[in-house]
Amino acid sequence: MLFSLILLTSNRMIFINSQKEIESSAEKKAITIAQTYIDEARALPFDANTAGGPPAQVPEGFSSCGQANLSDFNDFDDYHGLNETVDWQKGSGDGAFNVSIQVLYVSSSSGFDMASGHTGTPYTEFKKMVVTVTSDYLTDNNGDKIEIRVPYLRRYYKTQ
Amino acid sequence: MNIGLTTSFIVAGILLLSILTMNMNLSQSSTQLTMRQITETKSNTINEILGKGIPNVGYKEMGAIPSPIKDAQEGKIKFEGDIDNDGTKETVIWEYNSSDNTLTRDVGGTETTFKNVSNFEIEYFDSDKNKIDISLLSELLSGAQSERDKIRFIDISYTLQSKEKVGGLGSSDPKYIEVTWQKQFTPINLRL
Repeated sequence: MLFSLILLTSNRMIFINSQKEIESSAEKKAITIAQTYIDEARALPFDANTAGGPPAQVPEGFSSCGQANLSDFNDFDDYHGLNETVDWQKGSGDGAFNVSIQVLYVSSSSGFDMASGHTGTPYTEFKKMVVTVTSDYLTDNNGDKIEIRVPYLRRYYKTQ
Repeated sequence: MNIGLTTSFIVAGILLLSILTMNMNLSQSSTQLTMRQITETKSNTINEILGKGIPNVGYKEMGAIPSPIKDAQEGKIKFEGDIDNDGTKETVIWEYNSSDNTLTRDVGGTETTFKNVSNFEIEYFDSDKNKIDISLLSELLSGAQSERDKIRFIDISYTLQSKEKVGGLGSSDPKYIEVTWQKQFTPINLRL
């Protein structure tokens, strides 16, 4: 009886060790994925209307967030509403991670809070991107899925 | 001989063996976890250096360096950038040597070597995210600078191994703990 209890506890410890190994790798991967999307988006113009230089009026001359087709992504806010699966091992097709992205106009008066952010008017000089990554491999101690959320705040600077 | 005593010895022996096996399994599992954490920490150092260097391809204080990527191979990238922001551009080379599993970063002749890298691969993509063939990029294969100037995304992946093998209990062979990392970089200066 005593031996059985020790055996069960030991098995549980081995299982937890393995679980922690996978979880730490998954967390690292999730953050890298989020950072990749942010890097990609921040290399693009702030808005569709700033690609050829600043609009006549800032921020009134900006446009609303979002873009339907991936092939038309050419500015920062086009990533709004993007939902994709990403493989853990490139090309494996495992789709281990789910990525969803929100890009909203935010304001300093609301502390750049996403809850009071919006895709349309009134436009502001600030856009905030939040990349959320989830996975079956990312769970808390109760086995519930956890979300890795990486925010990025971008401000428009008039350069011309 | 007393049958009861013999049976007791046999049962005690089996129990002792079971406890020893269990203990070794537990110890192996903990070693594996510790080894993974050590390897992850080493990997984080490489990630940090790559993460600071690659986004600065072509960087200079005002504007960007034209045609900053001077060589682009599967296991090597050579680029220019003012990575320490001192107003002078540096030539940075990341090169993988598969024969001794080392990854070397060379900045103006100063080398930093990372050991136990079992795999290192770089892929290059144009603005439409189409992969550019290495034969068009590599200096070694007479790739043209005009082709290298088309690079907008740089995808780097590597696998770092633990220094020692772990395991080998029972029927399994001892093996290295491996940490794989992959990231796509979008250096801003390649778009200017």
